Amino acid sequence: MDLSFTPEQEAFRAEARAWLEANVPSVSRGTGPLPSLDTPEGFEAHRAWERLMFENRWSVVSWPQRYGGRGLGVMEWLVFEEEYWRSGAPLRVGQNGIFLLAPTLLEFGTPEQRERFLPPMASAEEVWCQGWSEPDAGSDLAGIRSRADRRGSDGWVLNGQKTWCSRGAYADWLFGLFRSDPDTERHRGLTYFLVPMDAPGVTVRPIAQLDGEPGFAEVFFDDVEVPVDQVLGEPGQGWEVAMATAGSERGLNLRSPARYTVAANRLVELWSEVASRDRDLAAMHADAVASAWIDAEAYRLATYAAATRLASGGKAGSEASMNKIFWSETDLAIHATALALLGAEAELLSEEGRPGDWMDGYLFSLAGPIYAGTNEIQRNVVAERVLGLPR
Amino acid sequence: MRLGPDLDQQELAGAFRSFCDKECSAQHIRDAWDGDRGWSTERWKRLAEIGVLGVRVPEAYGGMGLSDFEMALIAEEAGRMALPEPLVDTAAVGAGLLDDLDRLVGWPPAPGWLERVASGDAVVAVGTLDSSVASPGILVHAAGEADLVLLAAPDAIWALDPADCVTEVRRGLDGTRRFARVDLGSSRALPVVSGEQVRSISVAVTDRGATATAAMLVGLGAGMLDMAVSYAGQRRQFGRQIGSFQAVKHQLADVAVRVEFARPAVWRAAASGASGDATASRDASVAKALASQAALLASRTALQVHGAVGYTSECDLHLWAKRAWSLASAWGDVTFHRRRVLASLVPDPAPPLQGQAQPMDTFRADRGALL
Repeated sequence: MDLSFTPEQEAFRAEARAWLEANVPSVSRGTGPLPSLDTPEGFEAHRAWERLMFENRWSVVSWPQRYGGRGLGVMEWLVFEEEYWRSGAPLRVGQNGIFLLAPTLLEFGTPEQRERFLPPMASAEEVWCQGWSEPDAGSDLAGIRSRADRRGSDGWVLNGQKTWCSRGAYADWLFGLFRSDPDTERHRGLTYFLVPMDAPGVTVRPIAQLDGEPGFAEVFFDDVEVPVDQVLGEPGQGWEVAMATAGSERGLNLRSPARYTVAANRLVELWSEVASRDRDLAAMHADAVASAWIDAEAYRLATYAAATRLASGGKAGSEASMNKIFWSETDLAIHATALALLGAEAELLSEEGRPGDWMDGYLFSLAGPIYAGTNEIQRNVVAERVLGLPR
Repeated sequence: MRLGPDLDQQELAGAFRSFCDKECSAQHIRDAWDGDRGWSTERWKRLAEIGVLGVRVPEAYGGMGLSDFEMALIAEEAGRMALPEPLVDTAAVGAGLLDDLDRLVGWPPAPGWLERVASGDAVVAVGTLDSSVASPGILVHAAGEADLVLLAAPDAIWALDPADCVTEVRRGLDGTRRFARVDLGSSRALPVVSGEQVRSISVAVTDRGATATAAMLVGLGAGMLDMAVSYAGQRRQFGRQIGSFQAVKHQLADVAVRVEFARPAVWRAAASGASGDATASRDASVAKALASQAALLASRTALQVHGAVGYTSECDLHLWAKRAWSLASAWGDVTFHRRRVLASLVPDPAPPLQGQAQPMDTFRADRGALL
C-alpha cells in the first residue's frame, strides 16, 4: 500500500490546478458559467473551451502525444480529473468521443483511422454522438434493425433510424451499429460505422429532454453512403467493438470519481449551511448526507484499487457493470438529498427558465440509471458474468 | 499510489484462506457453539502456530511485525469462513493497543503480554468507555474467556484481570459470541496510564476495532453471497433454477456491488490506521459504515433467497448471518459511523452532531439498521 502520489504526479497536479484556475470559465472573470451545452450558443461555447484545453494539451492527457495527448497513465488521468472537477470546469461536450469512441479506436481502429479521427476529436473540431438505440431496440440492443448494405467494393449504404442520441442535435459525427448481414440475428452480423452527420440522407430531429433543451436527437438514415474506411473493426464484428465501447461507458473512463466527490463535498457544505440556521432540518437529513458522501468516497477508493490492478497488468472486465450501478445510484443520492435540504427553493427556475444547479444535477443524475445500459441490464450482467447465475 | 494488497500480502491471505478451508468448516462452527466458551482452544493454538495471532506483534516480541493492513486481509478471510475465535479482539485490537502502550508509554514491561498474544498463550478482550467515570456493567465481548481485559476511555486505560472486573458472562444470539459484563466500579484497579497522552491511543482503539471488524464483515458478506448464489443455482421452482429469475438475480447483484465497494474502503482504513494518517478515524468510519451495510444487506438477501430453509438453524446460513448482525453493531453501527464521518467533514461540528465524541461505548449502538 502506498497512498501517496509520486513527486512527478504532484507536480503534474500543481500544473493542472494552476492552468485550470487561470482558464476555467468563471463568473469572476466574466467568462462563465457557460450556457447549457444543449443550446446552440452553449454548444459552441463548450466547443471553444475544449479547443483551449486542446491547445494547451489538457483535453486528453492519457492519449498518445501524436494525437494531442501527453501519453500519461491512468493514475495521472485520475489526478487530472480530480483537478478538473474541483475547479468547477464545464461538462465535456466531447465526452462521447474522447471517453467512449477513442479507447475503441485505439483498440480496433486502423492507423489511418486514428490519424484521421483522434486529433479533431481531441480539439472538439469534430464532436461525436452515439447511434445505438432505436425505437424498438433499447435495453435489447442486439435487436437493432437499421441496415447497412454493401454497395460495390468500396462502400456501404445505411438505412434506418437511431434515437436518444445525446448531443445529436449539434454533433458533427456519429458512431453507430448497423445490421450488415440481413440473414443474421441478434449479436451476429452487426457492423460499427463512423458517419458524418452532414452526409446526404442524414436527417436530424432534436428532442427536448426533461430540462426542456434539445439534449437528444433522433437520426434518420435514407440511403446514406459510407466508404469502407469508415467501418471500425471488421464487418460483422460490430457487437464486440460495441461492447468495448460499453465497457468504457460503464466503467471509469466516462465517470471518474472526482465528479461525485466534488458534488458530495458541495452537499456537505450545503448541509453545514442549513445546520447553522435550521438545526432540526439538518438533523433530519444528517444520515442521508453522510451516506451519500461515504458512497462517493467508496467509489473513489474502488477506482484507485481498480487503477492499481490495471497498472499491474490486470484487465477491466465485467466489474464495469458494478461501477455503473454504483456511480449512478451515488449521483442520485447526492442530488436527491440536496433537494430535500433545499425544499421548494430547489424548484425555482431562473429568468431564462433554467433549473438551478442542484435541480439541473438532479435531472442529469436521473438519466444515470438509464443510459449506458439500464441498471437492470447491468444487474443481469453482474449476476450472470460475475456471479455465474444461470441465464 | 497503490491501493490494494501486493503479491506477498495476497499470498499471506491466500495461505490463511487455505487454513480456514481445512480447519473451519460449518461443522466446526457448530461444535464451537456447543462448547463452553464459543470457540476452540485447539484451533487457537494452531492460529498461533501459523503466526496469525502475532501478525501485528513486533518481531522483537515473537510476532510477524506486520501492520493493521495485513491484519485486515486476515480478518476478511476469517469472516468468509465465520471463524469463531476472538481474533479481532486479541490479534487486532488487543495487540494494537498493547503495541501502542509499549511504544508510547512503555507499558507493559517486556517480556509481557505481546509475547503471550503471539504465542497463543493469552486472550485479550478490549472495551471502550465514553469517559473515565466508572460506568456500571458495560458489555465486553470475550472478556469472560480473556486473560487480560483492556478498557479504553478518552483519558485513561485500564488493564484488568477478568477475575476482578467480570460480574457475569452471557451467551449472545451468535453462539460463538459470549459477552461479559465488566464493572469498573467494583474493580479497585487504577488505570495503567491516564491523561491527555491517552487520547490518541484511545481513538486508535476505536478505529482499529471498527476497521478489523469491517474487514470481517466484508468476508462475512462475501461468504453469504457465495452461499446464496450456490443455493439459487440448485434450487428449482416453476421448472427452473431460481437463480435464473431476475427478481433473484438483481438482489444478488446488489449484494455483490455493496460488498465489492466496501472492500477498498477497508484497505484504505487499515493502511491509514497503520501509518497514522490524519484521516485515520474518518477512514475507519467510512469502512465500518460501508461494511456493516454490505453485510446486513447480504444477510437479508441470502435469507430471502434461501426462503424457509434459511430460516432454520439446520441451514448453515444463520451461523454467518448472526455473526454479521452482531458485528454490524459492534464498534459502532452504521448510523454511529455516518455521524462520525459527517462530524469530521464540517469544521465546526454543527449542533446536530455535537455529543458524537470519540471513542465510544462499544455496544451501545442501536440496531435500527438491522432490517
